[in-house]
Amino acid sequence: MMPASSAASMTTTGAQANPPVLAAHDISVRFGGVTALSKVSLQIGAGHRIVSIIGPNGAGKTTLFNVLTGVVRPSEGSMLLHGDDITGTRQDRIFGKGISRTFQGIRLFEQLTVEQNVTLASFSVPGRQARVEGKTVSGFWKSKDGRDRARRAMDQVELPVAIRGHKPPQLTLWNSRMVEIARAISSEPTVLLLDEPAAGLNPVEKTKLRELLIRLSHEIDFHLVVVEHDMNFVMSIAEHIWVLNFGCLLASGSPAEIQADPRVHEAYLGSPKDAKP
Amino acid sequence: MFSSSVQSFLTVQCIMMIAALGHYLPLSMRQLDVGIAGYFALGAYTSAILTRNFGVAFPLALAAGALVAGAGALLIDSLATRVRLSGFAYAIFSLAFAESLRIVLNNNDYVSGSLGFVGIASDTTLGVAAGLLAVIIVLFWLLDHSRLGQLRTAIADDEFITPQFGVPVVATKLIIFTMGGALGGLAGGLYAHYIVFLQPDDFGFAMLIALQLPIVFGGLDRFYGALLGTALLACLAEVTRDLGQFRLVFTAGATLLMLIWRPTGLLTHDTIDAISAGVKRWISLPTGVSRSRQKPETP
Repeated sequence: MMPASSAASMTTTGAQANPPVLAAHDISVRFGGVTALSKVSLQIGAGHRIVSIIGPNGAGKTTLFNVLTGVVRPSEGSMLLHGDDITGTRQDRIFGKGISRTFQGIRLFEQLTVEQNVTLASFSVPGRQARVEGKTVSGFWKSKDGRDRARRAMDQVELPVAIRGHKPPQLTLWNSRMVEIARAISSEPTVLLLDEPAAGLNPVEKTKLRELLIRLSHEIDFHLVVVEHDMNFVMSIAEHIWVLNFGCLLASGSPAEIQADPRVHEAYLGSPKDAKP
Repeated sequence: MFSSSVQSFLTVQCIMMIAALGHYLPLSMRQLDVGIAGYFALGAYTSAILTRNFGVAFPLALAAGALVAGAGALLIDSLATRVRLSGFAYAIFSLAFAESLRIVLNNNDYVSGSLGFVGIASDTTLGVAAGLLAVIIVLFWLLDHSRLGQLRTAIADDEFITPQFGVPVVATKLIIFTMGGALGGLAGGLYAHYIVFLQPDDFGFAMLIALQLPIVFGGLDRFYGALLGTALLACLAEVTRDLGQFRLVFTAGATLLMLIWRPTGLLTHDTIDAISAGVKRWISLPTGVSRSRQKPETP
């Protein structure tokens, strides 16, 4: 277990063996007088395929996702993707470089069908191999490759063909979640950020989701970052965990280390001395 | 085929429908660019100057008017996008452009200022206006089924998340804005060569309201809402013609009733989906195709 002071600047275990895919250095975000993130550093893809970011409400987890996807420009700090500086890069270009996400609460385009929701993303960017070869797409035209990737993504999350022409309000929560994930993986990302993917799912669906995510991370070969409040889900899927509290990196380590850390318990449950007699 | 008064009525309505579609385009992305009267004026004056002063052929002048108005929309919306205007600030900005243009035209000797621009050839016929409208409707149908149409729908649905899926939102919006401005300019060119007299005050706030009301009545969700709204309001105006000045009071009352009864307008996504499902069900019955195909997924 790493102390809080050093955790902020440390890489995940195995960092020496594998260079990180995505590295954030000393990221700070301030909204007026409110500090949402304070000097947060982390490295994704350095020895772990599935990692998780946890913390109480308001800890800065979603803000960190927003920074990593270019929605929020950090007040300080930098981000490197495959060694290239992507700090301040436009959201659409970051998606094109291989960082994809889902949202806290399902956000699908309600007036587009399931298939259109997925192709919206897949037509916008080239596939991974094409990206490596330096190819680009205009984003204003449909392409066979984009359609193939969208269909493959929908097949991978096992979306029934019968509902692919439906609009999101007609879907169950599970299928809506699958559409979100299909949309995110249709670009063949190298880093996939999932914001509370298990929220609202029943225990059977959570188990199914965990198995699906593990399978997808191998099939598509991406690094998965999960923000989640369900600790059982996190502990069963993550190989490494970062804990955020009040915008600061509180701790990082393996699930067992995090579970044993009294500071994490205190962040979630409060200090014993704060308890009223 | 038609009497001259019916021809006149239909020609003006075709022109207004083209302008209403131009006004509809930015609004369909939930972007409050309400400078349509300005784009209309740009197209009207450009094409009229070209035909009267330079002897340019009518079709070329129409195209030039549309191009200039499209360029005007592109310029205005680029500036607005650059400073990240949104909502009512965007509306005020685009309205300020239209009003400024009207004031400039009123004080410009080259176009005879407030005295009015006269001597324009009467080239617009019902055939030309209706033919162009038909082509534009087909193009709108194609747009709805195109990638650009889907991007427009996505921006209207949730502009915040759209760029996070690789969509170049600013470029998409500027393309749609330019198309809307160009349509306004085309309608302006047709108008100039039909009315054959242009006065800057014709392109003021009243014109914006005249193009906004069809969308209030028809709805913003589908382009044919703007067409339906224009047709409804034109019929309403004709039916209440005998009321004289009280006609405006009647229109205002009808608008208020519509806003209370159906604030989303007559044609919404839900309405169209329900009609579409009903038609499909009706068509599929004789062939024995199961009705359950049309049902939403059971949660």
